[in-house]
Amino acid sequence: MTAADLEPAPRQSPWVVRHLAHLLAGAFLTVAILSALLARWLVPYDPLMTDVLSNLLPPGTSFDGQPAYVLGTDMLGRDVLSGIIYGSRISLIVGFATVVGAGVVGTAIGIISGYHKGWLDEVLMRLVDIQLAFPFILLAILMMYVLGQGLFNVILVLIITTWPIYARVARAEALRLSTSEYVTAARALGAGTPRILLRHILPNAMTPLIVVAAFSVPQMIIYEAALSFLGVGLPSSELSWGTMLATGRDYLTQAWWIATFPGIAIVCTILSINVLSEALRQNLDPNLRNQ
Amino acid sequence: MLRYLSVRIFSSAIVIFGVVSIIFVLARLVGDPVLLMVEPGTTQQDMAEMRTALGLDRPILEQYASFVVGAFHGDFGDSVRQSTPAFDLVMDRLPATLLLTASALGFAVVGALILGILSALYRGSIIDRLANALALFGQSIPNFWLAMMLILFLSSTMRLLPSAGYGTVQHLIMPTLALGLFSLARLTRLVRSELLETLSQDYVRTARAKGVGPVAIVVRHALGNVAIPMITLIAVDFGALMGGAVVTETVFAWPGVGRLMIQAIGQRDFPVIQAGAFVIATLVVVTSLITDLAYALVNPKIRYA
Repeated sequence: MTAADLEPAPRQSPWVVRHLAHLLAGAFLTVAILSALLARWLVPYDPLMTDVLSNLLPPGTSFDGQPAYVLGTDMLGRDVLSGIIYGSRISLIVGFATVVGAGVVGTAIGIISGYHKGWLDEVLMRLVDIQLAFPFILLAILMMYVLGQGLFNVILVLIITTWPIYARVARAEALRLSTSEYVTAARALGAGTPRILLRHILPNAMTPLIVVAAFSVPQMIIYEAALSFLGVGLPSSELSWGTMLATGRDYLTQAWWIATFPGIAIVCTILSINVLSEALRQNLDPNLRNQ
Repeated sequence: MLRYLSVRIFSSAIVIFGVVSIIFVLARLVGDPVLLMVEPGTTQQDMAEMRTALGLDRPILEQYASFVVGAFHGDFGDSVRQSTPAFDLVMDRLPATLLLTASALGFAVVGALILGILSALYRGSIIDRLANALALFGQSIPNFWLAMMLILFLSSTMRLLPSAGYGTVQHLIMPTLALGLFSLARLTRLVRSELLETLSQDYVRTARAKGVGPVAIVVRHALGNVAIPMITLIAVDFGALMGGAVVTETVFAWPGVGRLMIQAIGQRDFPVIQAGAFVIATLVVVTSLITDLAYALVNPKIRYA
């Protein structure tokens, strides 16, 4: 018991106030996911429809008989708001698909490595070291360059570049659990390796992996945007928040809104996921619950 | 200690070797690296000549061996566009990249110490809340978008700083902010939580009971405990910082390795891309080796292991 524990507990503010950030984050993410799912019906304009006559219109411009260009148009006359709504689909797909993919691959490799130990562990962990020494974005740029642009390749490359994170955490858990009494007991009762890994080690290794995965989703969204921004992610003809930022960059001084609004969408999404992940982490880790 | 040292140096060498192998495999994965280097529409004969010139008609293991030997001599072949050795082009740009990363790291460390100490000392105060908010935002803003917003506000609108280029301190400010904010955010949270933990230790309470003031407690008793986790986090994040530099340089037309590589991608100049990737990865590995050794020196548990 430390001195801090003996101090009187600070007066608690109401639940809503304490969880305001979580509520806002949850609300924003709900809106983002819904707009990604319902994009086709929500957009005021076809996001890919070019209309040179109405290009570079500032936010709020409206013509008679047409919906307003709430967030303006880009240099090809495409509606920025419609682009952001459609682009959310790419960001969310990339974010969740890569985390699930890399999480499954990395966890499988890590658990086998940590349980098997010996030479297999040495080889796999050296591989993890090598990959982690390579800055993600650099490895991803190289691979995208070799494989070519496209959504599938972005997801594939992000899975290949990020599985080691999960492998390392899963291995540490498997190492710890493999010497625990209940695993020894299971082995003594004649359980085979697959059964021990899947029924006894995996469920107990999940907590830290879930936290790592939750914090990885925003990272993956940023990586997709960065790759597309650099011109190796999605082709510029496709709509993602990253490609919108890339087009907006060339018109930054003339038309600030093209790059500004997709960026705000990215920041709000990432902020929301980070806030909720932090809450998740604190809830799953009893040591942090009172901090 | 000697054993730890040799093991650590040996494994770093293996990692660099592995990085070279990854670059080789990536280059050959598509089957024909010549396709990565030529403009669309090059004739079959030109491509065949290029293949022979690059030694691509030799057996794959022989190519691999000569690639590895070449890489460790800094030989990645000539740049396809500039007909100078690709490695030399990269090394010319390296100082600019190092300047930017060092500056960003310095900004992050100093900023994090100030914010972290203040928010730990005045826990729950307005300063603490602001520092927390900054830490949360800093980890949620992509550096390339922050870079563009800085250009928009500080350069285009307020005309305070040059939007791009290299050479003066003014040129360094915005790239430093854009690249360093993420590390600043991560380090601030670390400094705060480590300090809070240290400040609740018995020996700090004893020091307080003896009448030591808050500043002296932090400086003389607590900061030493923060140093080691800070060094560890910096080492872990250094790769991300170098990767971030690639993107930041592109936005600010900063003449570093990252911008060179992105330009090389646009020009399909594969030797330059390979050399750049090799140099940056090696730098990350060497940095992590140095921090590990420094860590071993200050930590007796490892020193005597």
